[in-house]
Amino acid sequence: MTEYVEARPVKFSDLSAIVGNAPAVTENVTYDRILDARSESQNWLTYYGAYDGKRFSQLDQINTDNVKRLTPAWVFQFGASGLHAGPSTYAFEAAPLVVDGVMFVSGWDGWVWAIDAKNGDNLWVYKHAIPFDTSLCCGNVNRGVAVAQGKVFVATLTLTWSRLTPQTGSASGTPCMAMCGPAKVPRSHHSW
Amino acid sequence: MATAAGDLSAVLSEIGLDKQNKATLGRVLGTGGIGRAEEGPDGRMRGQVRIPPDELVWDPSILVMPHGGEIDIEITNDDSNTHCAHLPSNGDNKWMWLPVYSRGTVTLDLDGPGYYWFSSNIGNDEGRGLTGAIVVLGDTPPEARLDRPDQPRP
Repeated sequence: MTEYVEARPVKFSDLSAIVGNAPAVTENVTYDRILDARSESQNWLTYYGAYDGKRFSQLDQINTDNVKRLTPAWVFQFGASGLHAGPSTYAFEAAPLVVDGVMFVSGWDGWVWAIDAKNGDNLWVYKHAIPFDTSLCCGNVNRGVAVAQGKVFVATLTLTWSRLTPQTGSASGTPCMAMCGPAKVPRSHHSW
Repeated sequence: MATAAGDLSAVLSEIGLDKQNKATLGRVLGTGGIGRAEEGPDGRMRGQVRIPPDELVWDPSILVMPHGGEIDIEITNDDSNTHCAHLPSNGDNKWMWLPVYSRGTVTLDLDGPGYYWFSSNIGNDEGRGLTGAIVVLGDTPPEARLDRPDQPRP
């Protein structure tokens, strides 16, 4: 009879240099704070920067005189493995959110990253498992996450919302189906 | 010459495409067996996958889950080469080193219907045959299909 060596599974990100945790920067991101997002232009709290959609920032350190001296501070790179939907049509299309020094950005195929905005270090990664036969209208892309009340929210290609804990990137509660509000999610599954 | 799908296994064997180092270096993708995951009385699903000797194939290469949820898959490497298992799961992919004659169990969370890949992502095991699929049956819940209000028609 064959004597088998014991094999033990790990999380794939455990094989990388990902830090694994991030500061709890979204704890105090309230609806009122997002309504007044332009007043804290050091952050980018919602998709267009503010609800009026103007993408205007009050920051003035970079201007028409010095913009030519801009150089890259860091580059974030990521390579996926395995099969995924739309292998010829995937891309970054998200507007990164920044909350007090932490950047939250989504990618193709259910990926979400928390990045140290100062140096580009990958703080944590979340991956929602997406079937490779998922129908795509246009490409395997995601237009960005939302942050509020201590959570990071991402819509997935499988029509679910995942609520991520911003300190670790782990999902909390059962994923919520598309367009359902808190009232449709069983309270026992809520942690926000 | 055309062949019927039912003859596939016999034709693969005849040409030498069902073993590595016969007609080619490995298995043709998408060939191999199909197996069903079992659901216990507690609702938890379980499955078994094995790498047989000298075939560079997962057995089964298609594992079917009756619905979404958590599944425990016991994976055995009976090949005389080292491989690994790289599998999708909500939160993060799972990975397991599979030395020669090794066995381990991995738990996956796959919440929706569809085809999910799994593979051995070292060397070029994936291109040589160690790419498989986990198929989750069922459909999305009704509320997931109510994502648009009625649209005005001209």
